[in-house]
Amino acid sequence: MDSLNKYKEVWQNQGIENPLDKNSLNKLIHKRSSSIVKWIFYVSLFEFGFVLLLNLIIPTDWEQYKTYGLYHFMIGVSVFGYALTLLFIFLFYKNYKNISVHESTKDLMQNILNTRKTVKYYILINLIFIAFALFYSFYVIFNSEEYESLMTNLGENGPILLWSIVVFAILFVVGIMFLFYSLLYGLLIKKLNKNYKELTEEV
Amino acid sequence: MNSELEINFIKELETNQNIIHKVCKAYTNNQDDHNDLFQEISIQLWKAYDKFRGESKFTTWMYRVALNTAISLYRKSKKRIPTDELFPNSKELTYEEYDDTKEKQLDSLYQAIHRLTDIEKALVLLYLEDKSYKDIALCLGISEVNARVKMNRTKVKLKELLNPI
Repeated sequence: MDSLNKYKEVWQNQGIENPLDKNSLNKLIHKRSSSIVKWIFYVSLFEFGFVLLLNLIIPTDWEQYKTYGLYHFMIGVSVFGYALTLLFIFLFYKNYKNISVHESTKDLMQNILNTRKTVKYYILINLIFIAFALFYSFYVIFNSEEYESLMTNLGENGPILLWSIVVFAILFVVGIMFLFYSLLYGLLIKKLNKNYKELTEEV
Repeated sequence: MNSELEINFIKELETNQNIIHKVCKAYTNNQDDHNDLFQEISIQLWKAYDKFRGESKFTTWMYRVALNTAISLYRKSKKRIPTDELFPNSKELTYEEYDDTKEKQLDSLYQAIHRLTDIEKALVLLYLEDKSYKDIALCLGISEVNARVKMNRTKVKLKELLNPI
């Protein structure tokens, strides 16, 4: 006989030291949840807000863009940016709604990780998009008539140096943002990732 | 403003709260975390209750939600809502307080369970509750064969923890 069987009886017959009454239980279920899904949702909302804010901040002076010939490009950037955000809000909401605590543990974890993946793609696409828009804008500005004299005054290596600074600055900002998000989510789903790996490991 | 659904739920929760206590005791190491997890499981159960269709036993469904919360949704946080008001007598409790003769056995069982991984804990809890392999596989979302193999390994580990050589 399995030596663990004797523990079954002890386990099943264990009493509760201090059961809660109906009143306490009622109070309890109306407290705020601290579930990881809720935190992923909050962090994502913050990200949506942040990227929206960036989209609003970057294209400010339309007249200025006209002088540089960036007007149409910036219109395109804004439209694309908002369309992307709307698409991802829809995808994210759909994923979030799919998370249900009474499905199997594996499905639940898979759905949470999918939600996380959607947000990751959203951030990644946005960062690439912002980097591209900034890069292109600088390219057009540096090649405009107004900057022609400046570029000439900088001497032979001037433009290369200027571009190096611009590229470095863009990569630095994008890198920092990516690290920040990775760290934030990394901390949030560290336990989940570990458990998911263990559960889905084939034997 | 208590709806009929809420009254029914609270009744079920009161009757079966020992399931949540067992899960909390297996997954946490102190009373504060225990209360915290208990609260989170109760909230998750209530949020999902209107979708409970009775296709499984209420207690099996409760186990599933409780384990899912402990394994996937719960994060220990340093900042937590004070639970004194909700668990007025919790300070008097310790895990060691059992006056029956099986006290030691249960105590060493919990001590061994605490040394298992989150997934292994789930397997052991379902085993101790005498759930079938079909139910265990369904609950965790893995194949029955996989559940059996994982369970056998976990049982070996548990036995070693209970009876160290």
